[in-house]
Amino acid sequence: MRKPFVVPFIVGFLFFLSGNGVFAQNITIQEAKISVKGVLQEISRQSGTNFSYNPEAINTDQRISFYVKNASLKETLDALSRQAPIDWVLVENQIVLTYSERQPDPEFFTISGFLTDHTSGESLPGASVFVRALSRGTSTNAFGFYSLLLPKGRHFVEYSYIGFDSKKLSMDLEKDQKQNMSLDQISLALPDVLVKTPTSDLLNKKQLGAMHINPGELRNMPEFAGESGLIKSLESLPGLKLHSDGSAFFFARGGEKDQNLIIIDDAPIYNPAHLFGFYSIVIPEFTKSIQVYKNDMPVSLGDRLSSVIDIRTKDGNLNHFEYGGSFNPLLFRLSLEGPIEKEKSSFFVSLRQSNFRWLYGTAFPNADLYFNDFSVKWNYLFSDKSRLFFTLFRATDVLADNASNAGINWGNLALTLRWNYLFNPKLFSNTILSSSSYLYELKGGGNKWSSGIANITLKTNFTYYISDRWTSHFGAELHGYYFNPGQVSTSLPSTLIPSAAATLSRKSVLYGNAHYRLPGKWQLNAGLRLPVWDNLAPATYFTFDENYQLQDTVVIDSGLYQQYVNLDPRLSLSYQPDSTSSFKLSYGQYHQYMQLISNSESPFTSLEVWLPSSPTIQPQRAQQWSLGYLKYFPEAKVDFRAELYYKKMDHQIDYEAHANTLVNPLLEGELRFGQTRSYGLELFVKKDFGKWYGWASYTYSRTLRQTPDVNGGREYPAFHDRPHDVSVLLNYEPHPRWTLSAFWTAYTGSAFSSPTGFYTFNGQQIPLYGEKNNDRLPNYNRLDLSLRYALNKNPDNKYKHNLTFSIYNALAHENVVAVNFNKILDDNAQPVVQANFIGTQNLVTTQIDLIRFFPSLTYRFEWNAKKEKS
Amino acid sequence: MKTTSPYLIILLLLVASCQKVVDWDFQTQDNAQLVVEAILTDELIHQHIQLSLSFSEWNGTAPTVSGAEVSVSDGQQSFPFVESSTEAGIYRSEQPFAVQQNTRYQLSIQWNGQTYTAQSEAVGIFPIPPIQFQSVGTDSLTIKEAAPPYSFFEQAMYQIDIDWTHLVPADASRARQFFYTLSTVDANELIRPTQESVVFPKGSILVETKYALNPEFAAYIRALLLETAWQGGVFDENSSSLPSNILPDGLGFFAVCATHRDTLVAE
Repeated sequence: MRKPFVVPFIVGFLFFLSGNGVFAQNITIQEAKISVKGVLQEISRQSGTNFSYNPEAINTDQRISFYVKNASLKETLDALSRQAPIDWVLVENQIVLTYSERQPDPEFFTISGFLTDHTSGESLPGASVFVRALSRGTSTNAFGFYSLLLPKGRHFVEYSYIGFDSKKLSMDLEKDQKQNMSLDQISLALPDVLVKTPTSDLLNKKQLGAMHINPGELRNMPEFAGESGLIKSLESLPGLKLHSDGSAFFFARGGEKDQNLIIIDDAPIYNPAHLFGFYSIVIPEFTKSIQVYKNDMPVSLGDRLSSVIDIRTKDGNLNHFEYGGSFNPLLFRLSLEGPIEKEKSSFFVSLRQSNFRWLYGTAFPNADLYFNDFSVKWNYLFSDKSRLFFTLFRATDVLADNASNAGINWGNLALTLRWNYLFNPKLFSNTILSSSSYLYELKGGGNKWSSGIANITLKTNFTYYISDRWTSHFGAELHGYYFNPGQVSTSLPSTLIPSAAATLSRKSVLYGNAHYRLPGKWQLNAGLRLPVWDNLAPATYFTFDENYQLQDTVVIDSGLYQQYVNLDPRLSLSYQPDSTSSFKLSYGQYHQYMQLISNSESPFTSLEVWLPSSPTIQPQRAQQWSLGYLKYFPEAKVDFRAELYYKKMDHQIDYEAHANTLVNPLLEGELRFGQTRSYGLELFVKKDFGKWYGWASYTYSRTLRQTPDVNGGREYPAFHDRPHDVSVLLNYEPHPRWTLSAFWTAYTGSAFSSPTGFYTFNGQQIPLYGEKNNDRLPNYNRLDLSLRYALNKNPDNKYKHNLTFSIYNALAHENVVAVNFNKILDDNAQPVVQANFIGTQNLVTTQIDLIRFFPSLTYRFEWNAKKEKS
Repeated sequence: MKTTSPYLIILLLLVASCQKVVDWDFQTQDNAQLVVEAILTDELIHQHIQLSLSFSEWNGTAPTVSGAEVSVSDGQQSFPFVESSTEAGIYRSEQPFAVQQNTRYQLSIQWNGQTYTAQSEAVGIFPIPPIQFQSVGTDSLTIKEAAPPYSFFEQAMYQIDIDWTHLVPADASRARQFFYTLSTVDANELIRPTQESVVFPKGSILVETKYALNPEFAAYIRALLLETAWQGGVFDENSSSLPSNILPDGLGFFAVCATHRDTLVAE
């Protein structure tokens, strides 16, 4: 056994030698193929060192690749030991070589590059790069870049991406190698989501806790009013629950509707809906990839408690011009993309405009009801190492009465300037300057109420592929926020309306993450996110006593008046017993520093107020534990996921009964703070291939809230506590020109409060309530159908067009969004609110559902200069 | 702030088009609570207070409360109320009296072995704004606006009793409407559900009574509107029981209000 004192002795001795002896040599050898003997001779030549060894014990004819530059003798000999079975020892200024029984460490080199679509030049995020013989692979990052460390030697590298033909490349890896690869889209005759026979490396592209949505999959889903959209598609995924029909609100694993971060090219979108929620603002045609995280969120993304929807937009075709669009009675959409400088620079531009006037123009000639959105993407490839992107996204909604100059309008604006830079094959950087704003305006009667939120962000993110086992992500962010919780301006004399003051905040974040492939079949992912939230003066804030009564008004003239520092760890451990299955255990802590204040359970985006964390509102916090299992069945071409989670959320915002949240400077006094716990089991099965393909999901979950001053402090089910939730998407391709799709979803009705008693006051029947959310809306049930017919006989035409006939809610099921107990029937037997309080009029219970049966016919077209085949 | 405008009707039509009457299985509870309906005014009259019980039957009748001992005090003088022999649940002051501003009044009710109390104070009142009518056909009217929905300076309730029995002798020739001015703004106030249309002939007699609301009573009225007149639109608030100043566990409200009254003929 080695004596403990021996090590320091040797180190000291070597240190002595290195100062004045043979170890101080600068040796340089750069040989791709050289024998061990050749290496020894070269070392002797450069250092004057002699070697002593038994030629029968050491194979000096073994050929190796040997690269050292200005290395000491020790470093050179250590490098030799790593590549050949040789040990060395210094004896009287002579190196004695002996045979080593250990296997030399293989020499590793990095293969790196970008994967792109061969036709358009679009980068391919999430594509697989795999070496089957070594069972080693990686995925491209959001910008199509990959870096894979492989041992020296000959390898067959497979590149694959869903919807594209895979490619295999044979290479002799002798040094770090740059290898860009472009893939061809599969035959246009096949549906968007089909690929050729999947391989077992599919597992490498699937992450537990994250779901990837292919825009092609969105296009295949049955649509509402001829438009497919991101938000509607989320309801097909387990653990995500849409509020209801006509709503863009969704809930992720028990979280609230404001706990989801939607980013388009890194810029947040605060309201992802048009027309109060009937349409998603994100169209599939503009998106390249959509990644949905419900847990184990990357440290580079945050800070929201419940989900991150990371949308990457199309860069624009680098090689050829394309245009496309769609028309239906309610909407039209056009897009154009193409090269500005071939293979260097490209653009993408799209415009969508509603067309509702024919619906209401006769009845309401002065009314204006429309929405539009406009997207621009531009990029420039400076070199293989450097690329610049610019994204602009603008969405506007207007609902106005021009005669009275009254109405509502709101809009999102997002801008991103992004620079990708590759320092070396192992270090990739992504630097972003982005800005977003969301403004809401209500005007009428000479008054204007406006609220808004805006931010500007500078962020830089690095990915460092340290070794074949280690990959690290780290970076920093700086955000500036502007919150306007509701300003009122008026043109009327002698009108005074209080306003809630606008505030400024700043968030600085440092984060780092390491992904480590442990020996055996385990992988560890550990990360930390350190957000620092600062509220900045000038500001006026209010403090409240234990009874929520105003205690003090604090005016701050300058500086920083509130700071929250938190440390959010993320940890996951994966076990992959074979190439078709994996388990993952994860834990994450998350903080959120901004909140949407609304005491409404309306499906529509109403007058919105965003508030930052403050002396009264502590940052919301969530901790989530989850255990996932993923299994891929190669024969059936089916993958199956199951995830079990438990989530605990603190400082959750609740409301005083009948809270006054608009035009109220003391708004924070209306808030109450409690906890939410949610847990559930999510099951998901997906078949991507064949004539029949699609997926199905089932979730059992509970979401329970507890707030000391609400419901007597007793726990109650949240509005979105829906224990059972099931959805199925099926696509059928009987013929290359026909695609039939069906989407069915059903879930337990949402919890709400129904009266448990009544009394009379001023001649009206007033409801009394017992336990909060004591009742449930009727169960939700919806079947959507669509039939797409390709009008081209030749699917490879440059000009392709199709007709899609869709029916939203084909069963005409009454999916109730609200039940009311305050109406009477008027002379026309229509439910109305009572206005005459003389006499006795019986109240009726009414329910509102939004869309019972909505057919649509949409014409879509696209033209691509390259696609036609002879 | 204006309330519902024509442009919003589009949205309301969209919503209302899928509205229907249903039967609902209420999860009712049989724990009747005392309900107090007391709005005392600065008019020198026999003030009255109505006592009833809450009930569990949808569209049921409120049980009246009899045998209660009711009194109101201004701190210096007590005004006993006696139960009406003709109107069940109504208690009238023995003597006429008018509430004064800047005076705190206390209600005391002894009933069923329990003492209920409440306090209220009247605030100042502004003049009644003119009513704006809107023609319906050639001979009929409806009230377009009786009061500004929003004011920073005052909160008020307007009760308008409309009578056209002298034109069309019938029980149905009377109506009562309420309008409100509040210092708060709510989304579902701005975008209200469709309201019953109250149409009356020209020549109808309108008696308008304006009640100035103190902040507590205004908060009660706002909650009442959130649960009744403003409920069932596009932006419903979460439902809750109304607040009450009847302690310890009563319902309803005890309010003292300055009032103005006006009578006019609708033309």
